[in-house]
Amino acid sequence: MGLSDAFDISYSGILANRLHMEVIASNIANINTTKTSSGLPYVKKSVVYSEVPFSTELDKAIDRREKLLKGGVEAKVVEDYSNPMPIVYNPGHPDADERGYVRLPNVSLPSEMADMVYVSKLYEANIAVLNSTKKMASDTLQIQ
Amino acid sequence: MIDGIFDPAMSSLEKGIKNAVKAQEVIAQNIANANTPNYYAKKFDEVLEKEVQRRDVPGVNLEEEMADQAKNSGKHAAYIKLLLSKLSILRTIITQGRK
Repeated sequence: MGLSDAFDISYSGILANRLHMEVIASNIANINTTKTSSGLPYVKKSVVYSEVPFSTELDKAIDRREKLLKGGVEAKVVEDYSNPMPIVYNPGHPDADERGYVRLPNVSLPSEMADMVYVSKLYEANIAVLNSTKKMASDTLQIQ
Repeated sequence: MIDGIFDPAMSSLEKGIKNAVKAQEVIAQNIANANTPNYYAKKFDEVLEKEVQRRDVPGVNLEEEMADQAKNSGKHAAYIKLLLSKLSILRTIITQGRK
């Protein structure tokens, strides 16, 4: 517990939000990718956030050597199959099957754009907390 | 603490500063987890001196956290100011012996 832990928590939030931003960028960039190295169309990626909890006093008492959890957030990238891949009729497409149908990635542009705005606001919120922690730290240094 | 020089107000201020730092950590945790599914927002309880669950339903209210954060940082600054002025009074008293 201390101001440096508060810095680390906000930093983990900023990292998680940046990862989310990168994933959104990759989704939008690949919105028309009909063939990836696996031979299938691009699959939408999602970010799953999970909490890194604070260690309780009990945790500390039970195992002193174990790395204590200082709080924060963790983000993981997963493939998202929640939306079906649209199948369109386009016989002229190089990746069309023998009946002329092409499978497109299951990325929805409006939902990616909405996520992008939300994540950029969360990023700003984390920066705001980081700045106020910074101010608290510099105030503390005034004590002499 | 030497009771003769440092009065109880001083240790209260120290405690206030410590609590403000812990509350800042809890707020940072809430905002970092604003997008975490099934995350229950926490609140620093000044009586229990530990974090407690804020609501019975999961979710983080970003506006609430930002307001708390502003309040908390103001509180911290005020405690530091008070501690500084107490120290400066002490310093004045201590240096009177020279004259």
